[in-house]
This record gives sequence, structure tokens and C-alpha cells, in this order.
Amino acid sequence: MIRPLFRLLALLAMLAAAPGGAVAGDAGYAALFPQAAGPPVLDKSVAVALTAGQVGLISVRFAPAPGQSQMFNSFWCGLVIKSAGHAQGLVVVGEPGPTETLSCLGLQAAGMIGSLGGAPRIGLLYKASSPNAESIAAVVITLDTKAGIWKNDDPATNYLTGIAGTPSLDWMRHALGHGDGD
Amino acid sequence: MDVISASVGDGGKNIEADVKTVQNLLTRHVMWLVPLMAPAVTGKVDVGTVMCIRQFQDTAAALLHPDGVVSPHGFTIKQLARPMIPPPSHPIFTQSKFTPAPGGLTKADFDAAAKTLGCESAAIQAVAQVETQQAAFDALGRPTILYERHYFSGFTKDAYDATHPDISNPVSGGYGLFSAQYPKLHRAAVLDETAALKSASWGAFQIMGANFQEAGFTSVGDFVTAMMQSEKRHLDAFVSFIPNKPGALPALKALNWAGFAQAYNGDGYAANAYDTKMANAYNALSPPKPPPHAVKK
Repeated sequence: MIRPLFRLLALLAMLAAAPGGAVAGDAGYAALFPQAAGPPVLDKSVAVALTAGQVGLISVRFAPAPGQSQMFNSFWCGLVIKSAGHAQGLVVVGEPGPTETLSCLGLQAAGMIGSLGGAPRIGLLYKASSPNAESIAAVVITLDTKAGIWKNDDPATNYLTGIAGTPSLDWMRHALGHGDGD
Repeated sequence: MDVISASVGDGGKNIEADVKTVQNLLTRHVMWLVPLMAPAVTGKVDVGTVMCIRQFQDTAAALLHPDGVVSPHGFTIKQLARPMIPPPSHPIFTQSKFTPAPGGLTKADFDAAAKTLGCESAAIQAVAQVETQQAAFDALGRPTILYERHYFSGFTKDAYDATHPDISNPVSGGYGLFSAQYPKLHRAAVLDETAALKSASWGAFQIMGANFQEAGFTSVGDFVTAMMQSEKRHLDAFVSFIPNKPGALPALKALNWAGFAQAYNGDGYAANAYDTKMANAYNALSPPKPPPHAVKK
């Protein structure tokens, strides 16, 4: 019990001390987000405990580069996903897909919400805005276990846009725990 | 008294009298079954009856997930029992071709708008640049919209929250794909056309249909018709709307971008950097002022 907790704390410490991890506009992350108009700005860092191991998430926010699809959005959000010494960049809110109409204001919460076919799923709650309202967008990413990379789980995210309830991680676990959105 | 006593359709109890009732009701609403024909009234559930139920649920009940089953207390039987379900009638729903006037906004359009509002032409052009980063019309020529489910929930007094949560929900959000906006609007219009038109933001400036009066129209239908016509009509609506947004016009006249963005975009303006973008756009559009002459004594 103590060992996983220690690992989680160690990962959080690693994220906090990650090169440039607390520096707004860190150019070190720019290479991970070629969609960005400029260096992504750090939003927040969180560690998510998976069934096996942990993954570190660094949320960044950026304006999309000219030429990127921009419907109603001013800012996109991405994740720097760190696990096993590897860092991956993933645009989560704003680019073409289920969140393309949103302007991302920042990550509110993240957590493991279950798995599908053995692939862990992480639920993410983002504060976002449309031209008319602010809302909480529930987004799902899942691990492609063969490729070893995290991907947007668009079917699950799409499913969540159509159901009742106030978005929360428990709400996501419940909604997707019944085999829906697959 | 219930219209049917038990479920009818795919996997239902399918009591003969109930099945006949549903088949008769489907026949009453045959216009919603196109391209299918009305089912034969046999009292037996067959593939054709189930297909008709699904089609009705999709078109006339506006359900996101038609399941082919009519429950005694569900939304489908409630719709089926109506004497008639009028289809949405606004041209945005009935037209198959959309031909907005070609061309965007010109300097003359902005000059005229500025004259009406009593502000600088560059100021209103800067606002337009920031507020209209999306196209005014979509690929089909329809005005660009964003559907807001929490508006529809409010206008319909939560009547559809339980049965249609993706289009009627007290919680804002759930927008989905840009291409999903018109299908959502259409489904909402099947339930309540006026509430649906008021629950989307329209055109280059994304003015909510609910604000049709502030935008200078006597009905939301007229507002939407104007939105279908040209980008100039979008600007006209925006010019009418600005003085009705408390604090917006004085801020625009004073080039107080934070004040304008707060009045027009709400408290989230800073997080989206609307004020900074407007200031930058204005500075790029407005010719630099000559430095003041030194006063010689």
C-alpha cells in the first residue's frame, strides 16, 4: 500500500521538478505541439495512478497556429504525458473532433476511469468556453497498448456529450462502466 | 388511461391490442415514416413495424438512440398519441439550397456601422476580426451556428431533459462536432421550433437567437431569416445588438477593450484574451497618430 503511494508521490515530485515544468511558455514543450502558434503555456501537472504504474500529465494551453482549424476556439489544451521516461504530446481539446467547438480554459481534474479491453482509460475534465457559455468538457484518452501511446478516445468522449448529468470523474466512470461509448 | 398496456416492438411484450394501437398510430403519422410505408395493421409485430417505430423515433420523436420499442409511459407513445406533429416550418429547415449573398464585409459596411454606433470604423472592424474567427456560413451556405442545450432546457422548462439530454440539458456544454450542430437544432425544432431557434447562436457574430429583439427583430424567425441572407445582415444585427449590451457601446467608443470584451463576451474574456486580441487588431487597423507638436514658446 505504501509502495504505490510512494511511487505516486515520487512521480508528483518528478513532475514538479521536470525541466521547465513550472515555467510558463516553456519552449521545451513546443516540439511536442507543432499545432501551437507559440510555446505552450503550463496549465497544471497531475499524476494519475493506473492499475499498473502511474502516468504523469502536464496540461498545457496554447493558441493554435494559423491554418489550424479554429471554429469558435481561441485556445487549445494539450497534455505532455510522461511515463517510463518517455514524454508524449497529445492535443486533447480544440483540434478537429468532439471538442472542436470549444475554447479551452484549463484542466480541472484527471483520473483513471476504467479500462476497455485491458487498455486503461483516463478521464479529463476541462473548463472550456463557447461564444455563449462556460462549461466543463469531459474528455477520455486511452492507452494504445500495442503502440504504447495515449490517444483521444473520441467514441467515448462523443458518448459523454449526449447523456444527462453534471460532468465529474465519478459520472464518467459510471457512464462508461456499463459498456457504453465503445 | 394509458394508450397501450405493455411495450410494443423489438423485444416488447407485444400484446395484440397494443400492437394494433401502435400500428394505427404509426399510420396516422405516416408523413414521418418516409421513405417507409405505413405498417399493415395486423396486431402482430414484424420487421416492418419495428422499422417504422425506429423511423418515427428518429424523425418525429427526435430521439438520439431509437430502439424500436414503444413503452407504455415513454416519450414515443406520448408523441404517437398526438393528433398531429407539425414539422419545423422555418426555411432554415425546409430549404434544400442556401444561397447567401456572396462577398464578405467591406470597408463601407464598417464605416456605415461605425457611423450608426458613433465609434471608430477601425474599432468595429477590430471587434469583427476577433469575434468572427469562424466563417459566417458553412459549406452548405447555412449560417454558422452553435447549439446551446441549456438554453433549450430553460425555454422548454426542462420538459425534454430526461428524454433528450443531448439537446435539452440544464448543464451547458456537450457541443460535440461542429457538423452536429444543425442536426441537433433540427431535432430540437421537432420538439419546439421557437425554443430551438432561440437556443443557437448565429452567424458571423454568434448572436444568440434568444437575443432577437435586442438585435432588432420582432421574431426569432425573422432574425434567422436575416442570418441566412448575407454577412451584411449579420453586421446589421450586431450593430443593433451592441447598444443593448450594457456597457458595451461606451467601452467601444472609448476603445476600452477590456470593458468591451467583458460586456460582450462575459467574465471569461480575459482567459480567452479577447481584449488583447481586439487591441492588437485595432492597432493594426488604425493608422498611427502623428506625435503631438511641441509647443513653441
